[in-house]
Amino acid sequence: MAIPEASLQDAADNVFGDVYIHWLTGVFKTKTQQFCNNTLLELDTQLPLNMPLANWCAVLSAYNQQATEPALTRMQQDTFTELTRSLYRLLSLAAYAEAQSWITPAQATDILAAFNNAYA
Amino acid sequence: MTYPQPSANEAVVDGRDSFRLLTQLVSPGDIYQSEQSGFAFALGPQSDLSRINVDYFDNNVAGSMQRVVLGTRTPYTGIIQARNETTYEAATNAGRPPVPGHILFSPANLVPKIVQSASQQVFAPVLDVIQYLQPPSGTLPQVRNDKDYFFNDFPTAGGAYSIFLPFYGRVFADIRFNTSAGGESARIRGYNYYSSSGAIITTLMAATALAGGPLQKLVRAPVDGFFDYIELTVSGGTGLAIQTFVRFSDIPQ
Repeated sequence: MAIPEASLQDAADNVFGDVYIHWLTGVFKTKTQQFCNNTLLELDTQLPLNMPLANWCAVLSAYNQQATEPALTRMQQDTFTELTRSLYRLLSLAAYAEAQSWITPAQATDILAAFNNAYA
Repeated sequence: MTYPQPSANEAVVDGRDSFRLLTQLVSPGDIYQSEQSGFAFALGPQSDLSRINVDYFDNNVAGSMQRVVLGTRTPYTGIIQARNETTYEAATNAGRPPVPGHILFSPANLVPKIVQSASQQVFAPVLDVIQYLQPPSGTLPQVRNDKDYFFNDFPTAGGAYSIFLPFYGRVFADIRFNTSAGGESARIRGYNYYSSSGAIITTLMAATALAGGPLQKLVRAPVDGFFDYIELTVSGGTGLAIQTFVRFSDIPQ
């Protein structure tokens, strides 16, 4: 488990370990919003096959906004766990979407880059 | 996730009083949308998942999204509107077309990575949720149907073979292996996942020789605990057929 991850499936498999340090240091919320924004940039909600991933971005963004993360302290552990699970679900679906050609290879590459850049 | 996904629109056009979303998951990240409002929501009788998220538009909260979690004994009665004309606030700041305010369904249970191999078979869980398009006239479902499995054989070929079955929220299991003279042994374990494959593993029945008569194991939640998945493993022997019966239930026995 080390960033940069080589694939979306690796990112999904390792996400729980990869983002833990950012929770410890109180920057998980900021980094998660960055990841959501950059992932959403890659998706076109006019395309039905992009919609499931866009829906996950909406879910992750919404509950990330609702989370309280005081400066330099940790958000509540169950909130972090739930948000990380949403990240896992988004990345798992992205890996599936790539395998099924729901998204282009370029989109997959950029979503992986968004993850690696946000949580580096 | 089958695509195109089942659509609640068809149910409305057909004049039905409910829409049933019944599908086997293909990935841990499956998520489904409904463009129709609902008067009540409940877990369907065939759901392997014991909890399902229903996310919907609510501009009273940050990010404009609110969540109801459906459970085996906790259906939701109350109107939830699909706000297709508006968008989720949190996802509108990225310079792209925003995400419409559909109602979203997804597993609340953590689903592990679904990996098949020569030595294991992982059963993907079934998501079954009922959206009532008119006020429900009767009592909403409170428990799921019992789930039965029958396996005619474990293809051990002298090695080991494992079957992983979704057990989310179940409180009782009856697991029986038939007798064998081939020298095989059977083991049963419970999994509580904390990541895609990482789990706390509880041994429910240590490896036991299948000889001298059928072997039965009863799993009861108050004694054994709750598990996401149950693993059945048969190993060793000469590869003789081992019939196996499994029943999972929401009702204590």
